[in-house]
Amino acid sequence: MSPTTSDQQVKQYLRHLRAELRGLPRGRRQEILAQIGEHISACRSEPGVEKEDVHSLLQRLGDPAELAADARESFGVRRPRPGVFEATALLLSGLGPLVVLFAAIATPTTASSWVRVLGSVLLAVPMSLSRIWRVRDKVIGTLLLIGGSIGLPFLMHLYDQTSHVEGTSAALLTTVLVVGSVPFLATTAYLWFRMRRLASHPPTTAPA
Amino acid sequence: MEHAHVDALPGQLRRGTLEYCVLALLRPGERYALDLVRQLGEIDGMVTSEGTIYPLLSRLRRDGLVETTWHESSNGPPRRYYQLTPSGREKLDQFAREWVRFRDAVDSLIVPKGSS
Repeated sequence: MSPTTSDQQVKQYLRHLRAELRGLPRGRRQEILAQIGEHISACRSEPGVEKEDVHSLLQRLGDPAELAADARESFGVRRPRPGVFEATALLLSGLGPLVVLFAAIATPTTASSWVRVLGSVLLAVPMSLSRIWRVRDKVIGTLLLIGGSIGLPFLMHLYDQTSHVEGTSAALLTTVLVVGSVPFLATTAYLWFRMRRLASHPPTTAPA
Repeated sequence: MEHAHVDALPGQLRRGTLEYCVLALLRPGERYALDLVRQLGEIDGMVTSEGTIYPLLSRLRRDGLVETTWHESSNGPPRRYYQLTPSGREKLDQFAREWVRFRDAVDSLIVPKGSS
């Protein structure tokens, strides 16, 4: 065993605790982490503390998940869980291409592109109401949706123009639809990935 | 075994009274955080783990019931001490009066009659 094993144990414990405390406001999270850190270093600096004691010291402190649950309850903060907003947001961004195509067919061709931008902002409403995704995630998601809502009709328009000249090609149409759907599918995949990270328990094994 | 003991009490009841136990331990004067946590951890059935006392101390400080001061230590880093604020003392005294009444009321219902 390397001599830093107990240091690694402490580091790993604090890393788990930091991850578990994620739902708390920043100031409180920092304060709790500082207190626990002081506790550990104070205990370890006492005379006669052996390396093996670190394990029992951390055990007495308690499971980070349990500690964080207690902290959330103490401060009246709930761990957010995926709900109706998240499900709707994922569904809307996944079905985004259909919505955009339907809107393009249903609305008169004179409808200006800002109507489409407005439509994509409406697509982003359930996402913005979610308490799970961070502001950064919502900005990325909204930009992707706006990009998709402008890009897909634009590609369809290009296709329309070329098809008059060269004749219809099913392969070209498929390509246009697939490429135009990429921003929406990227939004869905990104939001799904972030939701799993932010709402579920962090991995118990530390990354190397 | 100790944990089964602790789990038998509703979490809210334990949490609600724990904060006053912390205030009561600070009544004689300021205490080093580690001593405070250890003493509470040693009382049977008081807390599930030592760590859970820190979020509580943090909240008590934000509510203005305790305050922290730093003291230099002869060996090692400065130490964080906790002490009661006047409003913390007042809240503790209020609770202590109510608690005795409440405890007697609960005892009169829960403790079987005739047992000494």
